[in-house]
Amino acid sequence: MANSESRAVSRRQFLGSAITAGAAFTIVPRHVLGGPGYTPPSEVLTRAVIGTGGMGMAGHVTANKAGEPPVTLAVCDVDEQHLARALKKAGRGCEAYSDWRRVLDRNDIDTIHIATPPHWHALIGIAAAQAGFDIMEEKPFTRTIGEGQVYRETVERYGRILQINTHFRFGNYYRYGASKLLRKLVNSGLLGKPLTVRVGREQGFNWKIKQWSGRPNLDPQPIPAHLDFDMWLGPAPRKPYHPHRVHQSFRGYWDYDGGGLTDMGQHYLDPVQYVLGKDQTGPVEISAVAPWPPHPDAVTLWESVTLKYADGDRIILRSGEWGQPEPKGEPFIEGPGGKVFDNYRTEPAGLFERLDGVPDPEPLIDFETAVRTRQKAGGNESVSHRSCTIVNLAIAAIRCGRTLRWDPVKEKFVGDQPADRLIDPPMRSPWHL
Amino acid sequence: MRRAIWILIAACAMPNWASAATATAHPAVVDPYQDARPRVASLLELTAVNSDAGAAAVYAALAQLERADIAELCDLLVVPGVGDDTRARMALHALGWYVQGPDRHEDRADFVEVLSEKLRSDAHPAVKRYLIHQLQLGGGTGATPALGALLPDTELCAAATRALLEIGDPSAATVIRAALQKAQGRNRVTLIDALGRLRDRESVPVLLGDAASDDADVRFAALAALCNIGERAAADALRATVVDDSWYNRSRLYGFMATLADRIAEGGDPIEAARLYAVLLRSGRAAPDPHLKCAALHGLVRARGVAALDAIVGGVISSDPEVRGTAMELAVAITGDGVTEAYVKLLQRASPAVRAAILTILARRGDKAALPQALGRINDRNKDVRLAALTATARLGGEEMVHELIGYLHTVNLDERAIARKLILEMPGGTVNQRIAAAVTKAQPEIGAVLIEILVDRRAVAQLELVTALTRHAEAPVRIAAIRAVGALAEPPAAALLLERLSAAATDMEREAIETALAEVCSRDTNAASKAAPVLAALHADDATEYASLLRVLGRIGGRAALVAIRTATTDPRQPVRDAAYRALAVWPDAKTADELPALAREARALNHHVLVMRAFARLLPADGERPVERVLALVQAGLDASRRPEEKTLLLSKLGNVADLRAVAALRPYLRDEALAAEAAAAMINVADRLLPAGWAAARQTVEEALAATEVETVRRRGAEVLRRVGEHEDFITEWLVAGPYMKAGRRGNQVFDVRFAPEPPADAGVEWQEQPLSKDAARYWLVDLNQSCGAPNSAVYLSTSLFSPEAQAARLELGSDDGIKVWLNGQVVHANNALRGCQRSEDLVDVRLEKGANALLLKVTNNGGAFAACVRLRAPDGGRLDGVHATLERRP
Repeated sequence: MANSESRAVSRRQFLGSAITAGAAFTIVPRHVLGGPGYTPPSEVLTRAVIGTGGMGMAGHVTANKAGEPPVTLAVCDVDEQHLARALKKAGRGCEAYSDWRRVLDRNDIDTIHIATPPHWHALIGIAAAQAGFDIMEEKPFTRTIGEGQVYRETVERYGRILQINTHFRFGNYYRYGASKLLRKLVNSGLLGKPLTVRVGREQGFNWKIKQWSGRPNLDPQPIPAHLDFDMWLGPAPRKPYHPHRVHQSFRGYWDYDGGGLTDMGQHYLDPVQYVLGKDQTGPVEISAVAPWPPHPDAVTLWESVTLKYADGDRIILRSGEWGQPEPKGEPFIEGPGGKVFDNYRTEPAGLFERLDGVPDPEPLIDFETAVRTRQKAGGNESVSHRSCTIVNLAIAAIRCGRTLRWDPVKEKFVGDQPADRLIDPPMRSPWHL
Repeated sequence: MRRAIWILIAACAMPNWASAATATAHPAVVDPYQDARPRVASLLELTAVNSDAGAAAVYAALAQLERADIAELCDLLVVPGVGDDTRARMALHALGWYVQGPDRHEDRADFVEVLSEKLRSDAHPAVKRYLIHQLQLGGGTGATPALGALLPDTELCAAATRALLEIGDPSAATVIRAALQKAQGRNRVTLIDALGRLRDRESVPVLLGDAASDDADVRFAALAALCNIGERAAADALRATVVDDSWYNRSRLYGFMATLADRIAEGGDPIEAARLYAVLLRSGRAAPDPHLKCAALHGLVRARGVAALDAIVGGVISSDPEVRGTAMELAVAITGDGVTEAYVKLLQRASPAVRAAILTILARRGDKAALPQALGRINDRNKDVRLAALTATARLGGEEMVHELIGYLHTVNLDERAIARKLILEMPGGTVNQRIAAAVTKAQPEIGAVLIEILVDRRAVAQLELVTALTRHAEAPVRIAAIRAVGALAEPPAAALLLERLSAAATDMEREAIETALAEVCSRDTNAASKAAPVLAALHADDATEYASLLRVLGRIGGRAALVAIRTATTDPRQPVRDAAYRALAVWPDAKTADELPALAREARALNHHVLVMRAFARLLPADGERPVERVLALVQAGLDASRRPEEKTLLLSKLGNVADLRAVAALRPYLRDEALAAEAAAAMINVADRLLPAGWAAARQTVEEALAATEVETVRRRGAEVLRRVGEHEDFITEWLVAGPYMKAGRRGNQVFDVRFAPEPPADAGVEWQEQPLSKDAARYWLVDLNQSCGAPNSAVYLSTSLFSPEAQAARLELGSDDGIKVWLNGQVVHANNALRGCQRSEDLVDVRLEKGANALLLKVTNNGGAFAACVRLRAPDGGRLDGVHATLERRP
């Protein structure tokens, strides 16, 4: 177990102050310290990775290089096997934890990377923000809309930097090219209003809903000795253990996630919110075509979801894996003035070449720059909460089996008490927001 | 009818034999609902997983239910693991949604009453827990007594409390408070949390006692609850507890304090709230922590609004960047009457640092009324204030301010120049480029050059005519900037102008600018054959300087004609020309003509010229898949033949590692015997092996083992071991299959034909037409038997057949995946059935089987409702390891 001593000035304060001081900061030239190309420890953004399963190992736990200051200082997991694998990968300078709360006691870590299943995201993220850490987090932002509201407010209140680990708004949006250009095209008004955005298999999007479906009526199984299942469940209701409920396939259970919709939703829809200029709002009407009733525990299939905004814009999601076949040949974006297909193809042709004079959107700031400059990251808590909200609204429509009305300002359903029960369900104690 | 459907459901969901675990026999199927009452039976028929019955039909069936029917649904629930109650659970869940509809008060009352009654029964706690979850969804206030009665139950307290909270009955606090009297441990924490969430003031005396508990969980829960309730007495308890040595715990306590301050402010006492926020401002580990200061500033704004402006501006000039960032955001976002006026008032009497901060705030708030203040400070004595004023002027005044900003490009202050340049560059507006262009000719030469650079950065193509004219400007800085701008913005016809300017180049700097611009505009020609044409047309050897210039340009453009011209120059008698020619080859961009480079390297007399060409050749060798393998191998061989030093051979051998083909292994093999090159050859072979995965796992294993036998170099051996580990993940999938189908039955969906017998099923009917199943088109998923590639169709079944030859009778394990359902026969006996609706994932179902000595007939039935249609099968030993000696073949005999 790691033990870090308190210091009068925290590492994070030092990092921020040093950078603000600009040129005066480089106390000793880096080549004097460690040869050409050497990175002094004070310039490294150190991290702790909480959750070292598939996503944690894929994108967050780094291998600390010999002769370089270590980057991953702590790894944490409730599965001893995951933890051992992560510790081996990170190598020297990294310590292992089974309780994420002890990670937050460290004073030598700049950023907390959260790669747990989504039912833990908000609790760990809120605690990390309250303890003064900046946060890189796997998608989806939160499991529920209510968690997202509190999480967003806490990150803002404590002046933390947060970036969700989806970056399509920063660069290319799949086969449709640069998100920035798509946004410029929408801003130009050439497509007219209202707009319809389609995110279905025909447009090249795989919602993976069969892949991440849950299984009903699972036989309870003995809990493996290497897994602390009670801590894995955390705020989720207590249910019997089965291997399909945990590691990767957890996505198939409402208690922890929302299937392919939440696996891919923030990747697919966060850039759409950005392109449509709706980062600070949300739809007002949501309807779904899906089997009804839903299974109470296992995430099941759906055909389509339509999210309609106050200005008439619509986002239509189609799974292509249940129900009616998708219409062929429909564009990605369609408005009265034009259509956008893949690889910058448009009807009428050449719309992207008519954007001279349309100002670029504000540049988006990456996580590391944001941490160093204390500016908001491009995929910050506010926009991430909004894009995660539309994913959770889609889930609500699927589970309720009827059209829902949503107030994006108050962030509540309109006159719909049953649907409201999906916004902020109480957690299993002792965990609470 | 109903009977047939139940068989399907059982196949889908009975975990004892069909869901995921091992299976060896096809057991008898029992309808668990065969004695259900008619209304219940009708409902259950509609509530299958992923049913397409439609919500309207389910609603109609729900509307028919009576209390006794609901009771029967509850009675159908079983403890997980001892049966399949999926449909009963789904029906109750549907009812939970249904009873919340408008005008369904009576239905809801029945739902609540029946479920409450079951909660009072001796049902198993696991069943009760499910009923509580449904009450959490659909229950009303009538459920409170039954739920309250469960609060002392250690197993059910948490679930019952959550349901009470969600239902929102005002009397919930009363029953929770009552239960708290005797609750201990985790239950006590649960109940305290609930009272905090309900903000129950009546529980404050008890909670204050718990706030001093020795049990840390109880103590923290009580403090959190008291703070959420807004109980002022909690502040003292918090201060007493903050000595805890865990930073996580201390952070939580600070969080509680912020919540308490919020509640006190909401209760109408902003002054008292501000006192608590002030505590946060001073808090932290050993020194005030910036994030707590941020939280305190947020609270102050929330509580005091414009009255907190002094504190906010103080934060904006804090030495801590985190506090500065938060304070700035708050300063910009703060709303209320007279905010701008308050800032302007502060501006009059402030220090330079505060003046700069306020100007920045005003700029970001975008209030144009503040423009006079910004202009008024543009000549402030303090530099920081001037910079802030400049920024504010640009932001608030817009494109009208371009001229003003250009004036600052002259200033001696470098910071002001930089900020002015940035502001012009980022200035939005349709007239900005015209305004900049108009200023170029009137400006001093250095400033004119800067303005041209800005036009380039703004991609001001409409100003190209003016820029082109400036390439003849009398002043060198303007001229060179204009040449660079032409290179950045112009199309190929501009090459003529640049060639003309090359002859007149006055300095090396100008010549270099023209060479770069020429290469840029020529490279924009979309016709590869004519890219170099303007330069080639101008090429003449008389003037060595200009000749060398054009060779360097050709080296950047590439193309066969350019290469011919450069090759000619490599034999020029003049040293500078030869050097220029080889330098051009060193940066050669054109992979299509790279095959001519080995010959050029061989011809080079000087070693440095030879090295330049060999490096370019190695750089341009095609990546995997760009050219036919035999062509790549021939290229590498030509390079090896032309090499003069081991370093070049090493470089080229490593390139062979990028080729995913066994012919690359054959080419590398001889070098394993060369002491100087063996390690590199082995490393390259291992890289080839890695690229052969996953489909070529067998060849990959052999290749790695051969490479490892030839080297002792530790890094290579480690890499080899890693690739061997990856081989283990991919081996032993069966890819040889015969396929028959699709088979359909009118009106049935895919999962409804799962138990319909079609001709290929044992004993097979005569005349089944088998064809060879093509291998997967997806190399990364070579193991996928993609039935949409052969005979897939929605709502159908397809059969796959192969023979497994075993050298002896032995136990084995089939690892299966399917999209959607899968049934398996081995030697005519059903060994597995899973009528699932799912995507195809590897090894999702594990089936223990026994192989006979010799041929074993393996038959699969895969069903599909729609979309992807696939299966995958891996044959392993019962413990998951390798099963040696067994192989699959389409032949009926080994």
